[in-house]
Amino acid sequence: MKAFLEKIAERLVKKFPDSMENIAIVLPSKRSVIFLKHHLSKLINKPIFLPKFFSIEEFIEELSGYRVVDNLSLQFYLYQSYLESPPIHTDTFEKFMSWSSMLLHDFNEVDRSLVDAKSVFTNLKQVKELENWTLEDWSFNSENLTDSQEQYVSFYNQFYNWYVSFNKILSDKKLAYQGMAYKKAASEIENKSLEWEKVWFVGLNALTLSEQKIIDNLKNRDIARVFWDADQYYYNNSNHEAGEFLRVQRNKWREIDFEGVGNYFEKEKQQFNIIACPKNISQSKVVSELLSSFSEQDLQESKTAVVLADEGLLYPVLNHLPSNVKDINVTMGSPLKNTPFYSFIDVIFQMQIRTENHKRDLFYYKDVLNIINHPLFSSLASFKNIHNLQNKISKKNKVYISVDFIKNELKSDFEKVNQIFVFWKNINESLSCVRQLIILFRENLSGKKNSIESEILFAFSKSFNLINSLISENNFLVEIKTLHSIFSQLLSKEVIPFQGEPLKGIQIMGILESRTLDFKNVILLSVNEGLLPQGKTLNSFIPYDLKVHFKMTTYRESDAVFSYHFYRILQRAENVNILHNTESDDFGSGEKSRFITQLLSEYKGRINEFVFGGEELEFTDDKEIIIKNFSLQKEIENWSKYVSPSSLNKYINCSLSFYYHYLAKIRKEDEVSEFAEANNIGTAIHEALNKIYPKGVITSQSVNQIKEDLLRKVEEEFIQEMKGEDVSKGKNYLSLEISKKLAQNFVEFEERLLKKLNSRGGTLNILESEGEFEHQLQVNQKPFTIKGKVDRVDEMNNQLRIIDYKTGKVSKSDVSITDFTDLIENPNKAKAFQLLVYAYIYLKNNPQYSDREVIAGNFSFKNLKEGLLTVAKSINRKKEIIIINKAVLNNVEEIITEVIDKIMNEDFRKTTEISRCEYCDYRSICNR
Amino acid sequence: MEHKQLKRIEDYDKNLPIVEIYTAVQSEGSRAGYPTVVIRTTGCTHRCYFGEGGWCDSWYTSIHPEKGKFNFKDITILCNSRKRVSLVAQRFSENNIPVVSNEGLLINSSEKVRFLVDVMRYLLDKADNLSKAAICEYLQSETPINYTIHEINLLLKKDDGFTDLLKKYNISIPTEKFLRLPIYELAERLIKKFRIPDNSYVSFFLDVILKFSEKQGSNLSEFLLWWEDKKESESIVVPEGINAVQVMTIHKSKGLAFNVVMIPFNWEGRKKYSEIWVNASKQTNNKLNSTLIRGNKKLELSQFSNEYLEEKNLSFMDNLNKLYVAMTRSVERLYIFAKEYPSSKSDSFLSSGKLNSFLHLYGISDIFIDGDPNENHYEKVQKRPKVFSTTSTEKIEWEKVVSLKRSSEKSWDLDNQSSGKDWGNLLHLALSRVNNTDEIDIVVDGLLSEGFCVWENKEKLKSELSRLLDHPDLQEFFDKKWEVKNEKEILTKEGSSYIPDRLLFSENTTIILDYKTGSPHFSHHDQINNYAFILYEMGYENIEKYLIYTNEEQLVHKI
Repeated sequence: MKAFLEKIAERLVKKFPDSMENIAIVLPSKRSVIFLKHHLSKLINKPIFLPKFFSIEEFIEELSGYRVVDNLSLQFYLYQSYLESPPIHTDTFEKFMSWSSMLLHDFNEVDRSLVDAKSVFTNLKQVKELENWTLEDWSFNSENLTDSQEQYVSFYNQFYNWYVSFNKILSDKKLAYQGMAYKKAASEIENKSLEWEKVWFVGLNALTLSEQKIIDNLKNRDIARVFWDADQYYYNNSNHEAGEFLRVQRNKWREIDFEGVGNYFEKEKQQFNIIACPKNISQSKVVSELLSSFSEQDLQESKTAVVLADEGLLYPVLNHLPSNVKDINVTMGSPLKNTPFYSFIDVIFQMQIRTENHKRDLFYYKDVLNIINHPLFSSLASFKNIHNLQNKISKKNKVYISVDFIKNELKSDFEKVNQIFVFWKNINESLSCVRQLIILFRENLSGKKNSIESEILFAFSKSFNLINSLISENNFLVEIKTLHSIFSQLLSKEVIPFQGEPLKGIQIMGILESRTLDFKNVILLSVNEGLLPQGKTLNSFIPYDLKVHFKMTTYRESDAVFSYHFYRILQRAENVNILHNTESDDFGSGEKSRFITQLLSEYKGRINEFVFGGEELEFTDDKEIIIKNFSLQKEIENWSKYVSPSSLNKYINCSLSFYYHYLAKIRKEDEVSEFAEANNIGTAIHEALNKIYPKGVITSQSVNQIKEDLLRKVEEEFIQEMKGEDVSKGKNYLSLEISKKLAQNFVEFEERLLKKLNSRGGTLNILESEGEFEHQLQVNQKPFTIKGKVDRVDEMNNQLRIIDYKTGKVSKSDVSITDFTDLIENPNKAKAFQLLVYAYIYLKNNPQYSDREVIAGNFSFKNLKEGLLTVAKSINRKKEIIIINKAVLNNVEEIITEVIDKIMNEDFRKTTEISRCEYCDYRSICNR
Repeated sequence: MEHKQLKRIEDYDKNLPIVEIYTAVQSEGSRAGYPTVVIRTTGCTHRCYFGEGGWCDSWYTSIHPEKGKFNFKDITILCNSRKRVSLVAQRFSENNIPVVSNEGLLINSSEKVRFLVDVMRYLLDKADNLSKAAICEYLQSETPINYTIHEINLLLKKDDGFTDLLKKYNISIPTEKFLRLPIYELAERLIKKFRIPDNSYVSFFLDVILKFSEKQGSNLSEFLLWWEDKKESESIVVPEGINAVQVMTIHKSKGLAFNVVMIPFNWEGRKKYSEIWVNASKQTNNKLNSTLIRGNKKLELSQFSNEYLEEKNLSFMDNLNKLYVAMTRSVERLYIFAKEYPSSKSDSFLSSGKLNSFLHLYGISDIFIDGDPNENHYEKVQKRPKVFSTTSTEKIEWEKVVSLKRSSEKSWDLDNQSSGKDWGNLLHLALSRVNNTDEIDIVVDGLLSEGFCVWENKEKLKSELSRLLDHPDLQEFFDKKWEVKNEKEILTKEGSSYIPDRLLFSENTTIILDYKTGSPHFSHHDQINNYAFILYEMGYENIEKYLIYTNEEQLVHKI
């Protein structure tokens, strides 16, 4: 089937065999120009000057004599008009930018539809007043309106003033927004002399009133010629939205204008598939599968188009192209906002804005880490310096960081980046920082000509120049955060175009680029409601009813246009594959497009429906990881110098985690902790008790006396523990209060206890506080030093008590065992094991107490009502305190020996109890 | 559902109640192949109990009587909590019934996905030994090298140890380059680098990354933080081609339909307790007007008894609504499992909200079957679409075929970075757009708004342009007598197009002008000679060629 543009090329050559350089051709897209040129080149036998190609927008801009400027510049100009007639509540430029593009959009629509701006905006104001109308208060007298209502109405009241002033500002500079150019061109077309003999309008569809006026006029002057591309299928069906515009034109224009309407849908397609896919990657997999089944010819000669209704699918599609694809042409681009350069600028702005908001001359550590860990930062400073800075931040637990701190660590590299880590006082400093970065990165690109990075940086630099010019030209105040949103607004739209072989290979494009083109094979992706058609979008201040009244375009018209694009790309195709997403997610609802439903019900030929099959599920069985106990002597020897009860417990819990932690020494790195955690509370209380709590014989009075001091000390220790973090408010304040309360509870508990004890004539004598003890044990002829810090050893009456303070909650069952083998088999008994090991090393160092009645237990600060939680044996549900005598010590020694013996001889493997893995650092290694 | 058949077995307390009687063909044992009457009972001694709730053994074995009629994938088990879901899923796997559940469907349950995340972590922090160890562990299980894990662990902690190790696995990661990629691209490259096979989990992980980068940009560390939060909830969509029983929470089943639905566990839907907002101004001396308290039976005796009762009723309603959702999911079959009645029907049983207490409430004295087992709506109603299966084929490296449009090279010389060079490029661009002096302002404004020209250079560019255009040596070329074609495109029959900077035509002469901003070079002649040749082909004669060197003392060079 002959392509539409091929026919146009033939007609051009026939009509203008000698010279077509004085012809203008208006086409919908750049890609159609490439294809038209291609068809033309096949029909000429010597070089020719090409006709002038325009998009409809460019053509009308040319007619208007004004230059249509970019959206950002327009917002700067519009803000001038806004300030000339401000509403009651005046927005800053930043706030203004959040709605100004919507207003610009409305100005464009109003002018393109040749509607009288004054009546629209007056009507709009009245509509808004009506919205605030109530029975009680039915006059529009401003006295009766509340402040916010008044503000609201006053906002709409100014629209027309802004419109007038904005038009004036622009026309003085011979500039325009698009609608303005349309309106001007349409109003002047009568007397306009054109530099082209003929103007051909090719493959357009819906026309705005201004476009119609221009084309009508040029047709009457016998300058314009219009070529439609359509199919009877929708053109003749009076209910079909795809043909709506053409049917409207039918009465107005001559028969010849419609000779392009064909009957292509009559021909049965070779293949017509609709494939339902979950989410997006699966769609690109289907594309891959389809393409790999195509013949080489179909892939080589631009006979195949992949049309993306959602351009976000570009990268997935590219990454899944099968190897039989040799050439591709993409008319789309890579969004600048997804580049690291943008995210780098973004994190810098984030840091500066946060610093500005906090009004203190310090940077927040997360922001600093974000910057120094950013991939691009590594080209500005050495790995060593970056690493040092990062380490220092976490070691010193710096939450707020000064410039000098950064300077000290980055050393000579600081010079380069000093503009990042200076407190920006105004936007000039931010602009200068960005400018410096562009220069630095450009220097780094030396020798990387034509790299993607150079394109990104160049595009970024162009945007930067524009912003810089706009700010220099307009002298109203722009804040740093405004600059940030200007950057993100501009760069989120900015795209770096791809380049491929334009006429070879498969063609990947968005739906708009497919206009006027024809392909043998068409694969359409994301044919879902919300994308194709787009449906309602909220981007206008003008309500639907008002738009209808003034004959402006609404979402209904825009849906009809997309319906036309959809059917048109299908009409000449022989193999059609339509893919849609079945899952509802952020990419739009999972509802398949109504265009599909419509096709299924009205298309006469055969359509096959498929669902995406997908791959087998991954059933991962829990893999065994075994570290052979082989040539680990050195590591074990290192560990043997400091055998802590917690390391033994770790082994009991999971031998593999013991291996990783104590032998391989692969550990989780320190992180800055902004807020106090359980261990900080614990340390503060322990330290305070150690330093303040009386030793020797204590009484309720002596304990009472130190109470105030102790609480003060807890606070002091807590503050030290938090390394300068603010503890006067927020979470940290609460943690501090908790620490004090826990300490106070403990003192009061002991006070009561002592009172009772003393009244019965008993005494309490504290022998040791935070005493460090060690004992060397020989296992398999090797020495192992068992070490531990015992919180407290005291003598109550005649009983010797080995005590470990726990600021967390301990319950009786934690310290009671049924048998000594429990200690080695049940990790839940870790606290009992720890106490027994403490008792063991203490008594080994103090043999004089061996004959005394010795017990060991925890004071749980969150469970003081239970008193000392003593290591006990549970026999038939009864708990019997274990008196630590020689036999018990032997048992403990045996157990320690057994564990150490296992560490020396047995392989390390992961625990079979998955519940133990929940908080383990090594989960990622074990795959649990 | 139509009430076609109603079997009710009386005398529940004395006998084993029969829940189903049907004819079938014996499928196992010595009598395999013979017609059989199957009598299915409940309350039998073979009952299995799990946790506090119980169900009769037929609730999962009863899948088998449907064999042939339904596939595993037609069956869905709906539970009230995630805990129940994993209990059922675990039990099924133990009995070799293929099953997919919420948990198994978590993207993060794939070791390949977790591996990718570990690699990303490592890329961000090259000192992260944990991630390195995890990476090696995975590689060692895929393509082992001749090292023990311990040797690997010691190596990877050393400065270059890890990159050396990767080399042994035949992998090299261009870290710098990779980190500069958008995160989606990065993930794709990693998949290729580590030869990770195509699979549903990886594919949906890519979907997640794609979604993230559309919404939140392309910052890798932000993505990893975000993923840490999301990994327990983002799941894959069950592939159409999988034949497995689905187990899910009722919550997840909203809006879906399944052929066979089973609802086990006696419907224990009630939350044990809930929290209630109350007005406690009286109790707190107006300090806290709204207070959150824990719902507790004791509240019935307090001032908040009304609030408590209301909350209780609401949660009862909630429960009923959820039950309604669960019971309306099935197309073809619905099986609900209740526990037998307790011997004494205490108050707590009656208000427990469990299924058997409902049944008791509605006077149903025992368990019954409703509907005709032979009825099949499903085959009549549903026309299943065919499955589109994909094979994983080799992929091309797209970036070798497609490149970004090179627009920077005309303005930026990266190998010779000097402001003079940039200025020359800008001037060339401006000159090619200017037809005559009147247009200078418009052209310069255009260059400003396109970002080619910086604000600081605006006036300088204007004056330089007018200097050149007014230059006595160039006057000739800007004379009004010429017919001028600026940047006019020429198409050849081979399909190439050319755009000379400026063409001047008079009746018998044709002049080609080309601007150059560097120093004169012989190669500049080739281009202009080529233009001349094309013009000659087009029929023009007396062609003169001029190169204009804007930076030189002698501006005009005739070729």
